[in-house]
Amino acid sequence: MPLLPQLASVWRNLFRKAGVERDLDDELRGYVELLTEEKMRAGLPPEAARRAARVEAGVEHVKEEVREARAGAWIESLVRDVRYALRGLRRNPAFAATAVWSVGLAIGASTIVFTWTERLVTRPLPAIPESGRLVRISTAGPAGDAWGVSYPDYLDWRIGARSLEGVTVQTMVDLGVSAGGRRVRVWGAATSWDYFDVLKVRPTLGRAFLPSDEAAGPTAVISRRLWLTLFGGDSSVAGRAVEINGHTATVIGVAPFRFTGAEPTVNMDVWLLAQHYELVSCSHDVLASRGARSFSALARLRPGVSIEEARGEISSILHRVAATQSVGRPTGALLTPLHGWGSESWLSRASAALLAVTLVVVLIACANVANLLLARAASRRRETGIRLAVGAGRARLVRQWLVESAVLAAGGGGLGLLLAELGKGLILSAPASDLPIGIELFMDARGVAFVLGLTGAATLLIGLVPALRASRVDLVPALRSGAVGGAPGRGRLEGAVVISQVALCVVCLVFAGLFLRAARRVLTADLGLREPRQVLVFTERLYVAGYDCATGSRFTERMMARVRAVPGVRLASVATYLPLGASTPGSVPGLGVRSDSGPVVERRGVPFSTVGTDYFETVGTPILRGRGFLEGDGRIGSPVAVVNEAFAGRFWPGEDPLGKRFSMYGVWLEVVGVARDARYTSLDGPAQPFFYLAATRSYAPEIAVIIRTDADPRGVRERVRRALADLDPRLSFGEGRTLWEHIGAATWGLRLGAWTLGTAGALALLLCAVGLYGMLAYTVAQRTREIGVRIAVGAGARDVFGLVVLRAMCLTWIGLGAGVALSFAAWRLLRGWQLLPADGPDAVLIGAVVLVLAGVALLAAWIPARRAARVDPVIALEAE
Amino acid sequence: MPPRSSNLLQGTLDMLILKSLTLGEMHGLGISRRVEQITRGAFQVKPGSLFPALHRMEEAGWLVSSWGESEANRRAKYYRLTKAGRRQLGIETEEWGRVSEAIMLVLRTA
Repeated sequence: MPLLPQLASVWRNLFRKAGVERDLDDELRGYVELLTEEKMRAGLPPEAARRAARVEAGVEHVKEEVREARAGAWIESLVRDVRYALRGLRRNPAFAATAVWSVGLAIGASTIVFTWTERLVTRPLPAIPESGRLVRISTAGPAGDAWGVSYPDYLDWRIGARSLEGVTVQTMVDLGVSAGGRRVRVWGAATSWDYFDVLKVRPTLGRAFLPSDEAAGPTAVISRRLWLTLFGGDSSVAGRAVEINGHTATVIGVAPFRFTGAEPTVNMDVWLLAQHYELVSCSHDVLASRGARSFSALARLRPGVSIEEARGEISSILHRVAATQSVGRPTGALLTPLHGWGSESWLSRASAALLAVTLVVVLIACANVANLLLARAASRRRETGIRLAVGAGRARLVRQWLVESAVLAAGGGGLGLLLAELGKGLILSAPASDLPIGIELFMDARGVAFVLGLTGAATLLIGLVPALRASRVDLVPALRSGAVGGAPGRGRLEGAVVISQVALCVVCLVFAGLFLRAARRVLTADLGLREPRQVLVFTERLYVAGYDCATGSRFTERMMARVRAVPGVRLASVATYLPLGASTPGSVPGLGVRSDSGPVVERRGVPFSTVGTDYFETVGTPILRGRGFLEGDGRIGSPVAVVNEAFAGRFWPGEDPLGKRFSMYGVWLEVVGVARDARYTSLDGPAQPFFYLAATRSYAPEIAVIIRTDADPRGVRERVRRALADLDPRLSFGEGRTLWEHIGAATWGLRLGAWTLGTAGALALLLCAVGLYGMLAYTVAQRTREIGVRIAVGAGARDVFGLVVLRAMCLTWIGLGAGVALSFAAWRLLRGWQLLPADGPDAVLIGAVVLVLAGVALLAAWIPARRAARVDPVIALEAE
Repeated sequence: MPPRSSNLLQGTLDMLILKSLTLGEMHGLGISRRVEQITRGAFQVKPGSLFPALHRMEEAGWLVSSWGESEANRRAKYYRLTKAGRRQLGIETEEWGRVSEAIMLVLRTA
């Protein structure tokens, strides 16, 4: 059948209906007249002929048949069904609201999690084409830990790696940028010149880097956001000057919309060439040294090349070079996809778990609504019977039910979309974060498709069982039995739905519990810091204001004198690295250690922090043996170091570490003190070796000012902030925060995961309770007459009460049993994917979940049971 | 709602209508009388099946309709076969031939 005329017919039938109908009227009138004439010719008198013709033609019936045969007739009847469904729902607003909210909350939650997963895991870099072929390359340390990449490594790979279409390196850098009197602090990346080419990102204005830029003066590509902020969207921005960390650079291009760099969660605004990195960051030897692994490498695989093949090739290049190196030799290369489920970050794990849990919540919500619909189906048996009696086909009835559930699901989907839009701010702001994380949750075609898919699935989940069941109604008993459903096997299906709902809820809560427990263990771990709420930290990078090594050192001394003079400050110190921050500590890849048993070369990177005097007292990490740093340390006599317990235990087990020496870049340091172990880079895992150097000996461009106070930290924070702002207007030092808040930023992801999973679990519990309550309330209402009879023949209120509660608890306990079994099965299944915390569900967790659910079920059963117990037999029996 | 005619019967009705229109355009009553005439009264086409079939076939592009004057100067809707309609008649005739042959075969052998 040709499509176009067909569509034209549909259009005419639906929207030019009046004309089509008039045409049909005329045609049939003509037919009747012709028929009349025929009959008159056959000898009938005119009046009788007309009457006979009319009866024979059956005009109205014919019209109805023609309408049914017309193209697009199904659309009309669908509209009728939708109207009918809406009318039915309007008559029953409590039911409609419960159903729509159940589905809406569940779809809303899943949608937020889905967009979140898209932005963080599956498609975090929307502006980068073919990002699926991008991999991150790290070098592997002896313990399989990930090290950075040196610029010479990059040059080797660029020439030698045939499995790569392109490779580029970048390193993040904190920048103070000003132009036209405006000044902003942003994150930038120092990259090799081919960065934009490898990512296949084209600046929308101006150009990307060229090899010839390397030898020229500083140039910068800026983000679209920065272009709007600093230059007001001026299209002639290329060639304009911008001041970056005190140095003048030329803007050469503007990055496209939504391009925020190649780090999935970080919003970058400025891109510089690595050749100008030293200028703006006060670091040395970054490009020439193989030991300075300050870059991370991104590569685009050639089409058809597997990650494993590329890894093999890069590793062999590394091995060739490593043969010439004495220390800090990488053992190979590590390649991970830039994003996606294979990137193996905690983010992808947490997102997968979250998505699974919210989808289970959707299932629970659908089961809820299905149960409510089943109850309605029972109460509409009579209506169904009547419709069957007047000749409605069973298929027609199934369609009517499905339309009704589609209306409910669509309402839920719409509400979910709205809730997702409102709630996405919540998920981002829930745990306050100071991380340079910029995630923009936005709806795109895939998000909409997800919601539509969920809505469609919800329609089937909600409607199929009630629809099939309703269409099986037996005509005669349905009409005869009156309003009260009396069919045998009543409630069996409803019971099954409640059982599966409870079971799913158990799974949901168990998995939420697993994560919450893991999060709690990490969050309550001993950090090795005392009263972190009484410690204030202000961080700044001095190079942002253009300080070099000499001027920076003098500035630090002046600054500390000022800070110590602020009232309320008990102790103050500086450090290059704060425990558990967003940055990584400096680390020495090849540490020479001399012990009584002979020299050892530690090839693993050992992290350290350069700290000022009073550091240990300020943060509250006690010195167990020896001493902390003193004013003159490092400047006079031999350089000294403080090591932690793990360091001492590793290199001098069973020996006295005081007075021992180890070498760092060929300089020998003497151990003068042992500090208690603390948490440095991660909240989890065994204590790691760590050491401290005296800040007075070396200048650090990135510093944290640390202050301990006995007073209210808020007042002190304000005074210190003002004192610091007076020192140099180009430095901001931020708002300052307590050490507690600083650690909070490190645990942001963990707390976010725990928070969202907890919310999802609570939602599942709520929906489950609503479902059980709805089912019981409905059964009680249905069985009012039966209960009335029971009471009339002598059953006490307690018996009736017990009957209802018993039924509820039976269902609940079966569901609990199934849920526990299902949880263990799911756990066994998922453990292989390494998506979960290491330890599985145990008796305590299972017990807690079972108790909570049983309690909630009891509560949900209470009200209907009370209602049943109060049934007045006279009224109940008279009601018929 | 009476059950729809089976596909075979519907196809047969379509075929008969198409066949009756091969001689020229005709209005609804004319078509049903013509079918009766060709089949010697074996097929009585009731308006309840005739008009839905005519509208369906018009939407399918097999027929076109136009308003005209009947013999007694009555306004009536006339249907005419299109090229697609002729093609369809060919298809249906062939199909019918095959089906009836097959059925005859079954009846003879069984």
